[in-house]
Amino acid sequence: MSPRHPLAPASARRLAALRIVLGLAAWIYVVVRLPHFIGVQRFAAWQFRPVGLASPLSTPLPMIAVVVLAIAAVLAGVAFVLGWRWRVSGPAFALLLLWNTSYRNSWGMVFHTENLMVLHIAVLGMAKAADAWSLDARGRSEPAPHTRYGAPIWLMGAITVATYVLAGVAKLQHSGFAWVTSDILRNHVAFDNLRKAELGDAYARLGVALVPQRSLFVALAGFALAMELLAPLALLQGRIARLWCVCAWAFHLGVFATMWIVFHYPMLGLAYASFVPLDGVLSRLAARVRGG
Amino acid sequence: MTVADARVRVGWSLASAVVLALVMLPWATGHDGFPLSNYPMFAAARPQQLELAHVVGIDRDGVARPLAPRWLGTPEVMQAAQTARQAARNPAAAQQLCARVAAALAEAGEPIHSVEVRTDRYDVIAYWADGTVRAGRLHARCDVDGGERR
Repeated sequence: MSPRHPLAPASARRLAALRIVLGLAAWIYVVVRLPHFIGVQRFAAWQFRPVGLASPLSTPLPMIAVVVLAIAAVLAGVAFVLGWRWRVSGPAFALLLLWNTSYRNSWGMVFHTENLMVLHIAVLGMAKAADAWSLDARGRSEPAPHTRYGAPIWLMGAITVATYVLAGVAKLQHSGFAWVTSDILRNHVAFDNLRKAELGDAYARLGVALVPQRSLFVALAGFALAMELLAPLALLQGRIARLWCVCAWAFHLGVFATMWIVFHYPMLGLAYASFVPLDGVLSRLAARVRGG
Repeated sequence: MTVADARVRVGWSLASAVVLALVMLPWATGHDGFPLSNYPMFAAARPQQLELAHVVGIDRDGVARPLAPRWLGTPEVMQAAQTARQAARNPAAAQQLCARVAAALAEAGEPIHSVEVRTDRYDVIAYWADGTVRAGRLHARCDVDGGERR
């Protein structure tokens, strides 16, 4: 489970496992999305609304700069996952990932699916995440468990929790408890699926079929809001953390089933990786591979 | 505890406090940015009536069907929605988008006769019960072979 308090020690392997798993996932994301990162140049200049690291820009970058920065992210990502020249590659990949996602989000639509991934990679990038299971650590003995490995793991979990709390608070600020007791969620599902259908995209047939079931949406809304507002409990205790991770994952599965929205980072379990002793999982996996 | 250990503890305490304060900042500001957001996407009540800007293709029989996001230059439906919405606010941008989509359809040999950038009105609950679509506004129309009609 996640370290019990912000400064609890953890092993270098535990943090390194997060570097490998989350870094690899982010690298695959960049590679798969590379055509989209570069393809935004096809949009008209009047659509440019810079956010994040791109905020200082008043006009889009030249195509060559966009391509170079996207490819630099791919190369830095390889070094990040392998833990090679970490003092440079750690911060570099975190910054380049933030840059490329910022630039892609600067064309009129902010995709909330990338926020947590970018924040987790930023924490890893500023931590000593390559002191084990890395090219930099070859030939060195593994350091003892320490706060420098535990603190970033706790921080990643706290960031995950904070994003859910923010989402819950936003619902209360906008709608109060009527978000649960009224037709708000039901209308969201009907609205979102209609919009997809009329924009020529796939939509959630299960969600559409459930639209007449008003009371079901009240129950689902209550579950979602409780999961979000109670997220901080996941930082207190192992069993509660496990239960919360399952609930949060089920929530995203429900969003997919009823609205056809894929939050890949939580749906693949990556958002909750800091709550899991991934080093043990990777060790067992490696042993199985070696054993044939 | 050594001095080095104490430095690590102080450093991570400060870093954690600053990072968490930044992550929670949108709570106070209400700002939906990137990568810091207050995640408002499902928070506000949606009206049951929806006005939607979109791009439709008209086939030779006059039947209209929504065009997939890829024809608007993106695989992302939300990006396509935003593109159509921004185009609907500006006649020149609507014509530009219409012509761009029509050119892409012509190049692909799609059986579409003309393209319309339009805003239609819906009741989101009634739509899924009986498919009701109310009359909307036309922003731009162009022939797929390149000839602009409007």
